[in-house]
Amino acid sequence: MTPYTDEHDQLRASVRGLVRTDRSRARENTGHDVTLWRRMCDELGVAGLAIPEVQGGAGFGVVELAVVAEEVGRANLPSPFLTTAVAGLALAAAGEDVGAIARGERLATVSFSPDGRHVPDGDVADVLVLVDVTGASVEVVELGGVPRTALTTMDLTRGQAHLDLRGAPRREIDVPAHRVAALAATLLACEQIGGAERVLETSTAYASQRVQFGRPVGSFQAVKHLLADMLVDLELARSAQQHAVALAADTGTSAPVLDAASRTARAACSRAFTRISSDGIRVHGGIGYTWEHDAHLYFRRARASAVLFTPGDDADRLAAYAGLAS
Amino acid sequence: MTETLADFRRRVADFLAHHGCPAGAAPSRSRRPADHVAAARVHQRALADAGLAGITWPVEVGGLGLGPEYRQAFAEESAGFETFSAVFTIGLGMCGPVLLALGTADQRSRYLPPLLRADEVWCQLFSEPGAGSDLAGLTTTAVPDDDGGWRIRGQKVWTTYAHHSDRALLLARTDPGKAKHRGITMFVLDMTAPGVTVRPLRQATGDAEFNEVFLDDVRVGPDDVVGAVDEGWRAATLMLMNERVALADNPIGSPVTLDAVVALANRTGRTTDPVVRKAVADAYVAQQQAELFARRIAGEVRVGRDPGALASIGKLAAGRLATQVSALALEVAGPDAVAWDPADPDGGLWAYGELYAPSLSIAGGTEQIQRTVLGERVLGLPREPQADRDVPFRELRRG
Ligand SMILES: Cc1cc2nc3c(=O)[nH]c(=O)nc-3n(C[C@H](O)[C@H](O)[C@H](O)COP(=O)(O)OP(=O)(O)OC[C@H]3O[C@@H](n4cnc5c(N)ncnc54)[C@H](O)[C@@H]3O)c2cc1C
Repeated sequence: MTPYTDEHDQLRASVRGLVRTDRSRARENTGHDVTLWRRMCDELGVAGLAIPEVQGGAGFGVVELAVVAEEVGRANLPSPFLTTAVAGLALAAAGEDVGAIARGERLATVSFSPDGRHVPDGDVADVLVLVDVTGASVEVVELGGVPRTALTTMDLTRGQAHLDLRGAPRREIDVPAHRVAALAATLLACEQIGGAERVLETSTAYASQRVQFGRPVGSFQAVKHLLADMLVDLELARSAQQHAVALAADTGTSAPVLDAASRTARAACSRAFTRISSDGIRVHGGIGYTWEHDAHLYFRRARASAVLFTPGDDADRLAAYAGLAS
Repeated sequence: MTETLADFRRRVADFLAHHGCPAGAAPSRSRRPADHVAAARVHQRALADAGLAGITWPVEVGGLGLGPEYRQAFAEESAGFETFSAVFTIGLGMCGPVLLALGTADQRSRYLPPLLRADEVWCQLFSEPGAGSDLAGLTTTAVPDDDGGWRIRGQKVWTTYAHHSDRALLLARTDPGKAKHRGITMFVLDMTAPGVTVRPLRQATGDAEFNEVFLDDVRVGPDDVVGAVDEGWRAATLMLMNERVALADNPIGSPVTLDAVVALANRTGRTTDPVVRKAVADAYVAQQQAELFARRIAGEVRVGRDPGALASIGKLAAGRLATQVSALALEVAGPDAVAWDPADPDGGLWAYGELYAPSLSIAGGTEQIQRTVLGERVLGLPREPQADRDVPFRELRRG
């Protein structure tokens, strides 16, 4: 069942209206648009959406974050939303002072690599939430004086950095590691669904309008069936994603159930977004392969997202959830 | 007063505790087909006696008159139990809804109560040797006779469980002067009527579940028309829509489930092989998606929305999943999957699953047809040029 209600449709429309303004930024690889980020925070409060009101947020929950993540993914928006929303919520749950994060003035990020490598949005973040799922511990690291190397990224919409965490002051915080991991995986899945949905829409529209051999190319079965397969992938993955959102929004969900659902959603959505964005290029023909077209931007994001936040033991855990002994 | 959902669930659980047949405990569909059908009838009758049949059907025809959420609850409670969906999907999931929607008051009261009690099992006489995907190209004819009835002549094929069925919904051409979709009529057919010959056909698995059915001047009465004369295509479309929903909702799956394959791997110790672990993980993700999608569709139906062509996704998912899981079974079982000791009761299971899987990509509309449905009706892509749309049927090129 879809976790969304009519109110979520309004939130969705507001976010969509706002993020539409930003289009060519990714191609220039200039990082996220600070002005747009301010508007998203000031007008819609996206950075503190799920942070409780007493801590300076809007007091909504995971479902609202999911809506925004889908829209950010749809627009393929270079934005720190995902990382700061996940890390901010973790810090808030641990009782940290998150006022500036809720206002979007301070950016938090989240990573699962203990060595500080490949930290998403590590090039711009002010504070890092470092999650050790195996050891079930979560630390907070101030990034002020930390040396960083901003990386060249395949995905032009999300920066990464290697952080030199040796000597950086760390502090353990009290928040369940598995919940942070599940939220990160689930919201990433939302972004992926948003992106995949958009690629399918633009590809369908293009195939309906582009004429070859005297017919719209979308009337050829080879193209029509390719698009139908994209739809099948999208809707199957969406079912896993919505299920994970509903479970993540429910504080009563047990750790293994939440872990299984969020890993399943991430695996399903990574695969779906990869296939859909890759076939999206094909449906467009030559124009889809140009630098100016958005198709490669989605494909880049899909490939990079598929290995984001992965602790590396996904297949192993999922096999265990299927009942395979270890 | 309507029974609460919680009370209903308790009643279902109570019924299953006493009369339920744990999955795998019923006579095998493949090895003891007649016993399987007999057990199915007994089960359905017990359900009806317990007041649990026809959950969403109107009370007048023996149903419970409850909302789709009760059917969903029933499905959830039945997890792990045999539902005999192979025997009943066509009658209860497809023919019943068509009669409910288009049948006359007389047809509904005459046919639906015995259908619900499994006193009568129904089959679907649609496909013909020359008309499968192109169902509207069918050539079985119904010619009016002197007393207002019809004489039916032709041949049907691939008719699942025709040899166990009492009645059928049949499509026949009533006006070859009209365009192919416009001259077809749906009829109720008594399978014991003179002129009906049913010949079982053996399938790739070795089982004989489907049949060819010869119709040699079979008489049907004026009251046997379902819907209006020459408007059978509408009825057929409704039935096919119900078929996709039913198959997405309760897939007539292969007996080789992921659980069974995992159990095999655990038994044989093939649990640490990273290739197997990865393949099991992939199959698990696919299975979860198919299940969650089916639940989503059921949820749509529950709130009264027409899931329409989206149900084709569920059908494609079921086909893909069966193929993936049975291939995994062969991987895990190794050489034992393809050659086994005849004394081993579970010997042929993995081979059976592998042979069963392709049927899910054909029955109920092939994968290609489902993709076209999705492309045109969900995505709104332009149709292919159709040479046969508005030409009188008798002038069409066929063969
Ligand atoms: C196990 C099983 C049970 C069945 N039970 C029943 C039943 O109870 N009642 C009943 O009426 N029927 C039943 N069928 C029949 C089933 O509906 C048909 O087999 C199916 O619709 C395909 O028709 P066909 O066999 O004539 O194949 P064809 O239509 O000849 O198809 C052959 C190939 O051509 C492809 N093709 C055909 N047309 C197109 C097109 N326009 N675009 C792209 N590709 C195309 C098909 O996808 C397929 O790959 C059953 C079939 C099976 C396998």
